[in-house]
Amino acid sequence: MKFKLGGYTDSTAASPLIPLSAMLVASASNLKTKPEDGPKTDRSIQEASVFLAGRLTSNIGSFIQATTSSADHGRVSLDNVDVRAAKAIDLKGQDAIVGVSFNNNPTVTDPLNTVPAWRFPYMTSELTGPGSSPLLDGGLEMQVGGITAYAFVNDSIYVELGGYSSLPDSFLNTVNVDVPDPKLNGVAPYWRLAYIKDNHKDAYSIGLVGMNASLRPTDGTGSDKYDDIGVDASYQFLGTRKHIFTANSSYIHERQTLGATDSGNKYNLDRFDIAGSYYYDQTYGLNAGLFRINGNASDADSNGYILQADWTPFGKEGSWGAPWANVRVGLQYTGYSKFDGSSANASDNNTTYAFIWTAF
Amino acid sequence: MKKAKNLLRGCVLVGLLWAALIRVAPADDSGKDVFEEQCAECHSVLKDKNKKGPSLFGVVGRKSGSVDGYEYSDAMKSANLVWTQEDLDQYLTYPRKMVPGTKMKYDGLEARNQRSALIQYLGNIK
Repeated sequence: MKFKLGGYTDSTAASPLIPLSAMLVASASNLKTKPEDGPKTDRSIQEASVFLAGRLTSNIGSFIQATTSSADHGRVSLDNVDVRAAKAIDLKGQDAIVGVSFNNNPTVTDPLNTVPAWRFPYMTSELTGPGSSPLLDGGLEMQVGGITAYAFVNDSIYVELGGYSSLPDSFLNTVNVDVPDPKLNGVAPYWRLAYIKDNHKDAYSIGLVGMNASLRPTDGTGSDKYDDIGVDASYQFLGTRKHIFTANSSYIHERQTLGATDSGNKYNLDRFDIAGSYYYDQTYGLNAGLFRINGNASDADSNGYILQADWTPFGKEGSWGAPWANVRVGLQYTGYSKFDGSSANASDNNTTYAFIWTAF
Repeated sequence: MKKAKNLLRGCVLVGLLWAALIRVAPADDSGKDVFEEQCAECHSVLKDKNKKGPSLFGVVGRKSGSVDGYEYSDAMKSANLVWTQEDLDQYLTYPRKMVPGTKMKYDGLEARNQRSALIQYLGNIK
């Protein structure tokens, strides 16, 4: 967490001068029932990414990801970007880290695993998924540029404030990101407040997050407003790292005022996520999560659960090839009791997903 | 109303889970356990293995700022200490008080018995 807040600038003598790394995710998915308009199964290189992630200067660092997949047929596109400058200061006798980030995804800057960009499941099938979720839940990722300023005071209070706007079409075309429609109308303010306590043997947090966005369709009048506010909490027991437990939860409430696409009608959309995990010896993991999306639009509701078991044979200090070889193999099952507003046949969307994740 | 009930149910579930996790937390009196809990994120006890912090192999009795290949802060470079058990105890109580400007982002280990066990453990790593 402090590595990120410190601007990705911590390094050792062994750190490379240019902080390059790579990730490859190969996966296979299988839906319970074949949908009318899509495949039942998928086997693919889901993500092949190169990262420029680490220290660039003593106060500037980056997390820049470029990604391709077998579905992209070799087309490499710009993925998550978080370039930041940070400095440790003395704030009236209190230690503080202050920084500024340029990034392309609201919540990607966050130090916690409760917000959408970093929430469980960290990888999942791309065959299907609920159609509705608050805009803050990845609705603007990669298509916007934002500047946020943050402070982490006294190792406990985290404050972040910034704004996002749509990136120019020419830039998105250059970096192979699909040009969105609708686009942000002006600047969408984003804010975050969290209390974080890291006791080394365990850690917990509680926080609030919010964003107010207005989207305008290219060929339309008016705009659709999305006002999101969320609350989140986490607990992690680390101990001697032999037994690691985590519990993460978040609840996001969204108020929609659809002036451009629905005559100004107002809707609510709520999303609740809770996930827990247990890892033995940083090698064998069990994860379970529940999600519940509720709204007063007819097709908004989706409820379900995610179970995952995984094995990380390489990636610990002292394991083969450390620190270069990192491998995780996992099996995940997503079950739905309601999907896009319908309970009937919701389980047709139940998905089994197997993956191999490697990083070096 | 139903949403509120579900949210409440979720919060209670999280609370119970947290309480259970805290209760199963094992005792941490051995020096190795204290090392794993408090230090291992940034330090290794393997010889010449520097992480965010320098290797702690043979740290007891070692001159401060002397591990090859580790980039120390100016403060640690000029601290001119020898890590006796007493000095380590003082440093681990509040690192930034003893060596202002140290890179070590650690607030200190309050429990005297844990410091003592940790230093004893580190003293055997050589």
